[in-house]
This record gives sequence, structure tokens and C-alpha cells, in this order.
Amino acid sequence: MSSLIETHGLKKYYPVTGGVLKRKIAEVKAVDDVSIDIKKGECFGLVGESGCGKTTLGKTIIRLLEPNGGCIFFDAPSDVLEEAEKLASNDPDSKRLKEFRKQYDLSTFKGSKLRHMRRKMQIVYQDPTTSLDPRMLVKDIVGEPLIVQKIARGAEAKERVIEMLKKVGLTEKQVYRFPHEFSGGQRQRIAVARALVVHPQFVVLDEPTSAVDVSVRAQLLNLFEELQKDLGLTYMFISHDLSVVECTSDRVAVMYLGKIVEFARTEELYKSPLHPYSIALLTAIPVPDPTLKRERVILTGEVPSPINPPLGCRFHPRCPKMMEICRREEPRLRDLGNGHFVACHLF
Amino acid sequence: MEARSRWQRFKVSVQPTLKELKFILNRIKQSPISVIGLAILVFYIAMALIAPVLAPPLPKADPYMIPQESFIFMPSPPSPNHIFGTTENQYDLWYGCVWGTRTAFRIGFEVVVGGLAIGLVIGCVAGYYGGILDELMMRFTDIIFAFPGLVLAMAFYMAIPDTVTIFRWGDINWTMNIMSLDKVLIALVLVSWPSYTRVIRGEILRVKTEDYIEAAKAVGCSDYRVLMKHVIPNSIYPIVIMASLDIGAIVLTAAAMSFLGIGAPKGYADWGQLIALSRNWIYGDINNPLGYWHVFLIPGIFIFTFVLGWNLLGDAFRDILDPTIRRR
Amino acid sequence: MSDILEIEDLVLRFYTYEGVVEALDEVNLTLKEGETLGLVGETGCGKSMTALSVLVLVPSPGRIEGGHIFVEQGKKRLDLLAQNEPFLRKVRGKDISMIFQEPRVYLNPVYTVLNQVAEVYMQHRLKEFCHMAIEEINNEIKSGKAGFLAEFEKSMYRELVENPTSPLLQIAARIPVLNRYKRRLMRMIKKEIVDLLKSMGIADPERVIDMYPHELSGGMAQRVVVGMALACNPKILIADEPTTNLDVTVQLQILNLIRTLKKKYGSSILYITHDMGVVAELCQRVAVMYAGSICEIAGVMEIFKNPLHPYTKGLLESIPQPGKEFKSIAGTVPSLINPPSGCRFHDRCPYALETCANTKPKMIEVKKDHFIRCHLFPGVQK
Repeated sequence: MSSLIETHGLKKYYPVTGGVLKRKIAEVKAVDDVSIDIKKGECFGLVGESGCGKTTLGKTIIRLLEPNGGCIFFDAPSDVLEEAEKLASNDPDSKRLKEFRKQYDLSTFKGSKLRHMRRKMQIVYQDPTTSLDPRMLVKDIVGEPLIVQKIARGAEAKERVIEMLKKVGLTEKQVYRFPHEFSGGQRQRIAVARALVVHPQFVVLDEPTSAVDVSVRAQLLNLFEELQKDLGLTYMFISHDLSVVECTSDRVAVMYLGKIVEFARTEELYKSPLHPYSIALLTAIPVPDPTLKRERVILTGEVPSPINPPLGCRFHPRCPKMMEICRREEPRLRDLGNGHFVACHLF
Repeated sequence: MEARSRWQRFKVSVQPTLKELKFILNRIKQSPISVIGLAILVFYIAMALIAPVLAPPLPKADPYMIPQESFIFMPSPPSPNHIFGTTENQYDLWYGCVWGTRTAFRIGFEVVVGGLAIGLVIGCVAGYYGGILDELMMRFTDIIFAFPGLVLAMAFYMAIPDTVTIFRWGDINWTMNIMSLDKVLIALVLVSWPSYTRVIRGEILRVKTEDYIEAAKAVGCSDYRVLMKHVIPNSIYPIVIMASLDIGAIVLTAAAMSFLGIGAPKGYADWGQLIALSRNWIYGDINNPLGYWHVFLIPGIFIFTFVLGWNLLGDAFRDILDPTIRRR
Repeated sequence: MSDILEIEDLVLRFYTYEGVVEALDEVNLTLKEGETLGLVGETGCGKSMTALSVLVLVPSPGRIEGGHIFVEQGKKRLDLLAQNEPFLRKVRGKDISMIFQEPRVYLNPVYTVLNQVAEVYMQHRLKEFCHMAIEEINNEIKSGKAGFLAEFEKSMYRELVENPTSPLLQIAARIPVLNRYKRRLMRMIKKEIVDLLKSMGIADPERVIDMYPHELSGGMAQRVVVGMALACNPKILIADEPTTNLDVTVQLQILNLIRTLKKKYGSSILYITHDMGVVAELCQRVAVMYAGSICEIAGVMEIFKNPLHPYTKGLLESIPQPGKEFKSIAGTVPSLINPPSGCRFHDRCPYALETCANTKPKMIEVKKDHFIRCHLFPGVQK
């Protein structure tokens, strides 16, 4: 399968200002040198705890936030990607690389080119209450992308809106209502309809089921699966709920303090996690089976602040298997075969 | 799709707004104070609308100039001819008060709308874009705020010329006369916009960080569209409350300025003007103390109740439109 | 094991602009001494309201309109709903404590941790600390190390013990020099708080004590809240989804903490959650709630192995399992303003009978210690 999105060394830093003159004294390295690829038609899971940067990564990929470095190749043919990779390591300033980047690299797009690109990538937010404008009717909320992207107006737009709402399970009568008249699950469906009404290729799902109930969660997950098959979408499923990611994603990446620490196919990762953080994370999920007694890894301490990440491997102060080298050198993401990547000195 | 007539489709599309209006009216009905406020304002609106019927103007005269039957200096008390009596120089008080209602509404609305317009533009740009633009605009606003309002308004009044040349080319010379009342209004607009700017900037700073604004940008909305369709409609409520309270306050300020001699021309149907005319008669004669009570009391009551009505309504709005206690 | 808390036929209604919300409809629940009872249900089913009703802290426009809440105090069995406010204030925080979902929201943002935890002590254990203070002063006098205001301090503490709201104390508390008498008290309380926070698993309590709630991380703040709740050794602890907003690894730490503390203090816990995994980890008995009434109560093994009520079955089936299809319960949670007639679950129930739409089922004991409220199991009424 070809890659829809490939990021090379993506960085997103937030400056921390201080002092009287408000100079930059430190940086919050929210996303630090992340290189992943998302294949067409797959559901790519991204897990991690709060503050690890997964939401920032998702938003940076679709250019809602400005990256501070790295490239994001969108829908580039595989030979271009191969050549770009070779050029990047041998001759980073070559003209050919610059041409490729101008054509395919999202981080270089500006103005109307970027706005046109937005049609192909959308996002569904976590909290459906705040992600819908409370002063707008449902028909305006879902119809707005069509008007802004100049796809349809007036009666034609209304038709497409109703068609989309029916697909997500709402009725035509509910078009003239405000968001606060719906339940949480229904609001999330409206958000999904808004994201999909322009028929994008790539959708970032930012914890879409965290704010809804357990029974509604299953309905929403079914909806995501159906729509993916129906419209040929590619998902990036961000969540801190590992059990949901296990059921929905084809490949999963684990993030910690701005870096990807492990990345593999779902069955592989859940069956045999390699990185100590992934092991701790996976064993911490409470299992709905009172007879199962699990071997638990309880981590000490709290997640450190991303302003001053520990030197060397970022996880070393809390790692039960820490070695001397972990304090000094940062491990790189290595391919251990079978598409299983780990960033750890143990391997 | 079902076949629907245009009227039916319109009814359906307007339903949510009607529901909101019904909710607001219901809440107003629940509090007796707001009902009183609403009643006062409805009374004044009615009076303003049927002013020509209540106090018919003289033919071929500017209806806003109060007719004088004679030119006797002393005011005369209420009589069957003059229901409220007359003030100095025999200006009819009834006529002045009735047509003064129109002037009061005009003053209130023009100043508030003008101040709102300027305040909105500056506040939106400052709040939405932030950075150095925000700093500059806010410091400028602070400077205007630092002056005492009435004094600054008087200074502006003096600075505005009486005639303004719109177009001059060769022999053609178009000028426009600015009446003193208009000068007062312009001066008040220039003094009242800073408070709107601050409030709207604060609201925009809050709304800017909400998810749906980012979602609108993710869909590809331009900055202008985000501002107009998303940010402003969600931050407008505190301004509505402020504006309704302000209308009353502005009328009071304008009356104060008239009393000080800056304001509508003498004989204009304006409550402030009427009180200005009564300046000499507040204590009355030595042998007739407080004898001319009607000259200042009656326009004063009009001003008082008008401002009270707007204040009560503004308070009611504040309680109703507060999103945290809605839906209770 | 005796019943330490018994909720009987509790009815709660909210009078809102849109109508009357029938929040709780004859809820029956018992908490046995020393056990952890899990209360499971979705958003809007009324579990938080049940917890608040036990403490009689239901916000307006809600009104408790029927039922009893029996609590064992000493040898007596009291109905909390029949008590007056001063009595309830003595009960809250001391005999029954509650911990909430979002700790940083429920801590007062303008007070440091020290002030907030000290408030609990001042409210409930003031006399104890005053006696300790008086003893300490007496010891100092005996050993000759007393300051010259020792007698004055002693008299103030005696006054605090006998008459906490006397005007003399109110005046003294405001005069800068005279209110030094409180220092000794605060010093002792502070020592106790440091020990308490240490036992909660906070590594450096002296530093945390001077922090404000917004400076704490989620896990730390939750530990502080748990500390506040357990400060006075309550017999009943109500936990309203305390780990829902926390990360998975922090959740594990907090659950372990609750488990160890329960062993240490011997309290009974009413644990409210919507996560069946946590229930399986922590609870001995489980009660399932839907739309304001309890559907099923059973032991934790029984409920997972042999769920009887259709809603419980649906809930367990909708937990996502890898490789299997996602099953969900059809329909949506009904609005409680006009709740469905009869059994409130009948319009979503795949096994609904005709009688389900007309009459409300009663709670029956279908097996030993397994209660259910469903027309599919007619049996002897409880």
C-alpha cells in the first residue's frame, strides 16, 4: 500500500517567554523529530498519556499548527518519496528536493494553496460540546465547509448536508436545531458529518470517543468503520484509551514526551510490547474480568514537564530497566523486522 | 424531499429563533422588575411614535422647535392650555417633553450605535490578531479612558467646527452645517467607544481559544469569515447588556451637557434643554420659593423614568443572557 | 457483615424550566461494612445524584421527595434525611466523605493545600487538637520553658473547646498580636498533614503543602483530595469517578492507593464509575443503574459471569473487544423529563415483554445475593 502521509523529522516547539522583555527562555518540545508514515486506507492509532504531544502531532500534520521543522509529504507517489529520502540524507539543499517539497510537502504550502488542500484533510475533535458553534444551526455547521471550499451553495449544499447527516444516523428534521438540543453522541455525529461533508482523504480523530458514554462509544466506532469502507478514508486515531485503539487500528504508535517510542502492527504491539513504557501502559489498563490477575508494572513518579525533558532517553528516570547508556544517549527508532520499530537501548 | 411551500419552509427555518425569543420573554415575565422596565420603555416608545398626535406641531415649522405663544420671560404654571405649563420664554413644556422623547431615543441610539461600531472594529482587530497591534490599540484606548468623560466630551464639542466643507473645486463649494446637538452626539461617540472596545476584546480573547473556532479554520475559513460568523456572534451578549445600560447613561450625560450650556439649540425639544432653560428658576423668587417646580421637576421625571427603564431592562438582560444560569 | 448505609426508596426530582426531571426513581441500595460497592451506569443515569443525596447536598432546583437514608452511628440507626443542617455538617467529612471527579476543580483555587486540608481538621477534630495543645503548654510550664503568654494561650484553647463561636475568640482572631495563639495549633495540624500526605504516596509533602491547586498535576491533586477525605477516618467513603480524568498509569497508582488505604482504615467504599474494568479490579459487589433506578445488584464475579438484566448484558457486550464486531445498545438514553412508562429500559430492551411498558418491575432476589429488577424474572417479592 502506498503512503498517504509521510513525515520526516517533524518538529513543533512552543516558546516559553519570560523576563521583563519577554524573551524566549526555553522551549516546550511538544513534538520532537517525529517520522512516521500513514498508509492509504488504514487506521493509524496514536497512543500516549496527557502531555505527550499526540494531539499536537495530529494538528501539526494537518497544518492547524505551524511546524517548526521537518516535512509532511501528502499523497506523494512512492518513487518520489524514495528519492526524497535519499536526497535528504545525501544532498539536503538540492534543487530537486526543493521541487518535490514545493509540490508535495504540506509544510511549505501557504495561502490559497493551503486552503484548497484543507479539503483533503479534516479533524474530529474530542469534546463535541465545544467543537460545534453554539450559535449556529446544524445545517449551517455542516454546510459551512461546502460554502467555504466553494463546492456547493444554497439548495445543493442543503441536499448534500442532509445526505451526510443521514449517513451518520441523524434525520432530516434535525437540521434546524441548535447543538445544545442534542445528546453528546449525536453532537459527535454532527462533528463527523461536518468533517466528512467535503469528502476528504484523511481524517484525524482526536479522542473522538473519550467524551461519550460506553454504549454510544460502540455506535460511534461502528460508524467510523462503516464510513471508512464507504468513503475510502484514512484515519489517524488518537486516544489515551488503549482498549479502543486495539480494536480499531491497523498499526499503533506509542508516544512519550514528544517522541515516538514504539511503532508496530496492532496485534504485534499488544501481544509483545518491547519498550518498557509500552509495557507499563498496556498492563495498566483495567481489564473487565475479575478473575484475571495481571502482572503489573507500576511506574514511579509523574510525567515530567516537556520544557525540560530528561537528557538521553526521555524515559530513563522512570524506567525499571534503565542502563548507564540511557542517561547519556538518546535511542533512535530502529526497525526490528516485521514492521516493528522501537526506540530503546535494550534493543 | 417532501414538497413544501416557501412559507412552510420559512416557518421551519425561523422556529429555533422563535424558541429563543419565547424563552427570553418568559424569563422577563418572571421577574417583576424587568416587567416594570419593559413597561416603561413600551410607554415611551408609544409616546415617541404618536408624538405628532399628542402634541401637534405648528404648520410649516420644524417640529423639533418648541412653539412659543408669547415671549413673556417668566414661566407660567400648568393650566388647561398648557398641561405641563411653560418654561422661560413661554416654551410649552408638554410639547417639549413629548417631542423630547424622540430626541432622547435618538441621542441614546445614535451614540450607542456609533460607539459600538468603533469599539467593535477596534476591539475585534485587537483581540483577534493580538501581538503588537493589540498593544498599540489598547494603549490608545487607555489614553482616551484616562480623560474624565464629560470634560473630554466638552473639549471635542469645542473642537468640532460649525460648518464642514465637503467638496471644494473652483466655484463649487459644498458645505454642511453641523447642528449643536449633532456636535454633542459626535463628541459623546468619541468618548464612549473605549469601554466597548475593552469588553469586546475580553470576550474575543475568551472565544478565540474555543474548539469550534479552530474547527472553522480547519475547514478553510478565512479570518474575516471566522470573525464575522463565529467569533462575533458568540461574544456579543455582554455588549448587548452594556449597550442597553448605556443608552440611559448617555441620555443623562447629554442632559448634563445641555445643562452646562453645550447641547441642543435653545428652544429645541430636548429634555436636557428644558432643564437648562429652568436653570434660573430652581429657587424661584424671594416671595415664591420653589414656585416654579414644574419647570425642572417635570422634565426631570421624564429623564429619571427613561433612564430607570433602560437600567432595569439592562439588568434583566444580564440575568437572562448569562449562559451559566440559563436553562434552569 | 452489617449494613452500614442503606438507601431506601429514594425519590429525587429537579424542577427546571423545561419540566420536572425525575432523576431518581425509588432507588434501593445497601452498603455493607468493609466492602467496596461499585455503582455503574452511564452519564445521566443518576449515580452522582445518588452520592450527593447521601450527603444531602443536592443542588437546587433538585428536591429529595421521598425515601430514607439510614446510617449506622454507634448502635443507632439514623435517617439522614430527617436530620437538621448542623448535625449533617458534623457528619459530612467525618463519618461520610466524598471524593470527586475533577480534583483541581473541586479544590479552592485561592487556598494552598495546607489551608484546605487544615480546614477539614479544624472542622472536625478541633477539640482533640486543642486538648493536645493544652497538654503541650502544661508540659512547657512544668519544664519552665513556657513563654509569658502561656496562660493566655491556655485560656484561649479552653475557650475554643467549650465555646467555639464565642465573640471573644472572634475578636481575638482579628487582632494581630493576640491571634498568635493559633500558631501552636497550626503547627500541630501541619505535622499531621505532612504525615497524611506521605501516607498518600506524595514524595515530598513539605513542598506540596505550600502549592496552589493549579500547580499540582492531576494525580497529585487527586491524592490531596483523597487525603482530605480520609483525614478523619470516615466509615463511609463515596468516590465519584475519581480516576476518569486521569491517565492510565496514574489511575493505576490511585486505585492501588485506595486499596491500601481501605485495608488500613477499614472504611466502606461506594465507588461510582462507568468503567467496567475498574469495577472488576476494585469492587466486591456491583450495582448497575439506568435512568434513575437500580437494575441489578450482585457480587462482582456473578455479574461478569452471569449477568441477568438485559441492560447489564448490553453494557458488558458493548465493551470493545479486539477482532470482534462492536455491539451497542440500540437507541439513546431517554430524557428524564418524560421518562418512559413502566420499566424505563423497555424501549431499548431486546427482550421486552408487553407488561414492561405498563408496570414498573420490583426488586427481587433471584439468587442468593443477586437482586434484579426485571419482568423477565418474576419471583417472590423482596
